[in-house]
Amino acid sequence: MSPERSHIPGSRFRSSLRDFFLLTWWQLLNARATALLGLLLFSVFPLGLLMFLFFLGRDMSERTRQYILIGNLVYAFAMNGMLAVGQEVGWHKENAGFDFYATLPISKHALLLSFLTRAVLATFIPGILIMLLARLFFQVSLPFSPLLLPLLVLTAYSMVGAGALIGLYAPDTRAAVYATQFMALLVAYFSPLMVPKEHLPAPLQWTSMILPTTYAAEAWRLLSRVEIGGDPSRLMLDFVVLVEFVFISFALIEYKFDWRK
Amino acid sequence: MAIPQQVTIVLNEVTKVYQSGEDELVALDKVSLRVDPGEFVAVVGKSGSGKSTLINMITGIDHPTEGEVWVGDTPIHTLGESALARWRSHNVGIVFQFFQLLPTLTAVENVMLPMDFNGRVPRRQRFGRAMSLLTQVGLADHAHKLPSELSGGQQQRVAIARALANDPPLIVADEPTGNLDSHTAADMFALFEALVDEGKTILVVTHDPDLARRAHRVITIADGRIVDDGR
Repeated sequence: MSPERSHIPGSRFRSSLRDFFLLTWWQLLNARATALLGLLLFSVFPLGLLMFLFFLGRDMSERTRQYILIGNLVYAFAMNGMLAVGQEVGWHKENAGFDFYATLPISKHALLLSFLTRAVLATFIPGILIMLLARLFFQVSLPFSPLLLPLLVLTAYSMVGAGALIGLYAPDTRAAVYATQFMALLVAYFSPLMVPKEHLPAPLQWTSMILPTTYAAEAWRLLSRVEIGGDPSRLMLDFVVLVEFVFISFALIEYKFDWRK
Repeated sequence: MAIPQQVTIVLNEVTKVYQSGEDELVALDKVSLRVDPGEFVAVVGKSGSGKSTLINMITGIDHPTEGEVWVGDTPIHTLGESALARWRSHNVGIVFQFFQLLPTLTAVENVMLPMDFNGRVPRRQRFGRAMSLLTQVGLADHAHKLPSELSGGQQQRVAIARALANDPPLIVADEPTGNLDSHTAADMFALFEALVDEGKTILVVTHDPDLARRAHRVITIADGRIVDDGR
């Protein structure tokens, strides 16, 4: 009756990867019924904010419009993932939803990443929609870079640990929803996502340094050459900092997320 | 790996203490127990008596503070989380009080899901096996319905089919009839009896003394101790 799969590190990694793909597939199947509603929810905030800002400043330069568009898209990728994981974990905790998952031979990383990946995949469609609408109605487009894909993945994964811990420590689903939305609003309005860092008060400039979205937005702007006064040599640094945030996120999950209890 | 169809469960002097700040709650107090292969065992006791903790020790969902838990030749008390999850996937089917079906998967998809993670049933046979299990629990006609389209009793039958997906020798059910009317609960026990006839070992936690009497053996637990082991 010994366990079937071995403890060889390579084998364990392959098995975790297989579990992750299987879980993501089942998560996507699980999301069928609410796919349209999810798309609407993931689109409405970034799209509404984008339109509000563009209507507010019709005389903005193209560079400023690109600046706002990038901030908006970074917000969508980072925050939708964090909101989805936080609220999903909160719901599962309150409704004993982890009881069943805990019986499966899967790792918590694979499960949480499958929640996140579902949210990130669901964000790609609104993301593309927002870029198309921005080009169509506001005459603003973004240059493509092959580094955008790893950047978006790092952006989304950098916040998953925060989402998981909010979901785990919130007393119920409602508290998890409030806490994740509160955090999302803080990131949207009190960090240099839509506003240049220099325009923020000094305390917010300091606090923005502990938010991965700050580095993600800067990296995307550097890649798209819309960073106002940016230093291209900072691009590598932004990627390194994002990788560190991802490691911190995974470490938080490893040591603090005791989901089988 | 050959999956054993017969397992003996042995608990030796198992104690479980939960810490809550400064306080200690003794959920199980030096419990010793043996369940033989093919037995149908009901565990009864008041709320908070330690029934669920007892079966959580056997499934490895919780660890004993002291003592040993053996299922077949596997020392459950020594396994880490990952090894336990893999062991559970092959050897134990768990049925929950609130069914815990994934709400937007159909009945047959819910039954197929554990097979994907276990890997013992070849991919091409999984749908067929899931349909066969749904037939066994009398729900083949509802295979493509969502849980929300099924009654409580039907959902619990799907949950039982799911617990049988990887053909485990041991089925553990924690208050499986707690949310069902008495007629449906009796049907559920008839299903358990049929599974025992096929050689499964079944442990069921229940509040209902009439249902418990249908088991081969009734273990009564109070204040974390077995006061009657039904032998």
